Amino acid sequence: MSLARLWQRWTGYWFRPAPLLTLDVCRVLIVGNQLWELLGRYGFITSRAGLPEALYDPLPVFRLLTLPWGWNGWSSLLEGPWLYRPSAALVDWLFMLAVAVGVTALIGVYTRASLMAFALGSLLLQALAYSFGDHHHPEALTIITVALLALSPAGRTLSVDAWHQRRTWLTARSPMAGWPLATVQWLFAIVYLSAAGSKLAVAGWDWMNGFTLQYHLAVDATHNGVGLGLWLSRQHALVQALSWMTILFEATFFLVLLMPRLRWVYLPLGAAFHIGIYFAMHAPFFPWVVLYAAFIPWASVAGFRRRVS
Amino acid sequence: MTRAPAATWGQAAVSAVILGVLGLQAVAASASVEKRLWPFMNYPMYRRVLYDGQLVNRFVVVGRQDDGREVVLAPLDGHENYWLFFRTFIRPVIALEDNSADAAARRHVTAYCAAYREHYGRTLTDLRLENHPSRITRRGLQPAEPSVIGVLSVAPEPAGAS
Repeated sequence: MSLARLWQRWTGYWFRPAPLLTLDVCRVLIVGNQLWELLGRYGFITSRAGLPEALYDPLPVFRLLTLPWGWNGWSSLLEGPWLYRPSAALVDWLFMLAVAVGVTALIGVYTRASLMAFALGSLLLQALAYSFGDHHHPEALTIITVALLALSPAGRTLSVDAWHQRRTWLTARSPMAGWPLATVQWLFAIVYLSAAGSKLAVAGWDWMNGFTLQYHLAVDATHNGVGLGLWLSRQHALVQALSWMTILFEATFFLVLLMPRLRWVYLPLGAAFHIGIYFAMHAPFFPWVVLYAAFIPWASVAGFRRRVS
Repeated sequence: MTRAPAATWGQAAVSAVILGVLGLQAVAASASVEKRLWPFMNYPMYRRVLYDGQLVNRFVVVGRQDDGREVVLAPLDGHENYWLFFRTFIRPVIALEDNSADAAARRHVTAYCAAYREHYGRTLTDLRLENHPSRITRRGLQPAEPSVIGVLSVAPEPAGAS
């Protein structure tokens, strides 16, 4: 295949005109959720300011974002002592600033600039919180998504910007409106496939023996005081069936990219999967359920007709 | 010579972003990069395999205070997350016990003892590492016989000692 043909197919996939309304519905849902999550993590993030210096080991992305202040030689970019740690007061200010730009990104005031500032603020604060020895999984995909939205024509329909410019083109489409949501869909496919691959590579088919998931359920449920998880950890046959469902779901989720109609099967399953995990183990993956918005053709659902921007 | 339209350059730039994002996620998901690429991460949670009848360790650290009282050590203020406590205290104590501790592990244990002194006003003199294992069965986890792994002295050196 010639390079020109390859480029044509590439752009045909990523840059085919897509509804701006779909992009903005996703913006509102995803930014709203990230704002809600950020507010909920205020205590977690700000309490880190009081942790001992010995635990402070900034993530590389935090070092990169604070490069001019913390530079301690080339090797320090990845690990080792870093010369900058923000004070508790500064973390408070940054938090308030991030919330402020989160609100403007949500309602669509200087939408793209607000989205970029919100993505950077969320990235900086969350990276700081994870610079003390532990890190967790639920927030990362949302932060990446907000950054992708900042590079898109988000804010041209459902926003104060659009209302102010009197250009509320609810039916408009743009070649640049589809790629951020398509990228999020691909990210999900990679993440789920790698999660299944990771289990199968380490444990093989034995991962579905029931005892494995019984153990993980029992440990998390005990630490988090979850009655449902403890009860479930004693139901061998049921947990074995859930183990198979988990692997099948994760390993085949990518099929949604090939056959988009499958989203109506996989998205409810995924939502039930993550909500079930929360009630059984208290692993809070609600943001992922909100990110599923990227799979839904909101403009078609709302019945708007085509108009190319 | 014809020039590429601006839209093509825009698409090329966005294509680089798409490839960068998906490439970083693919690398993070498939290689052992820990948290070096965060927010691009791997998702290997719960991959450890376990079998019927297998014993699973659960380590507990009991601290002896300078007043002779013994307490099961738990997360302090700011250590509210159990996994942070495990990674930055329990695991370093295990490493000190089996002589595999590095400088960071020693620093973490020292930092916890100092924070404990500040929080409770008492000095820890010994840390006793205990294992309270469980056995995996069809009816869930069943407790097994606990054991003492070892005792570490962490009493601070007297002022003026070299």
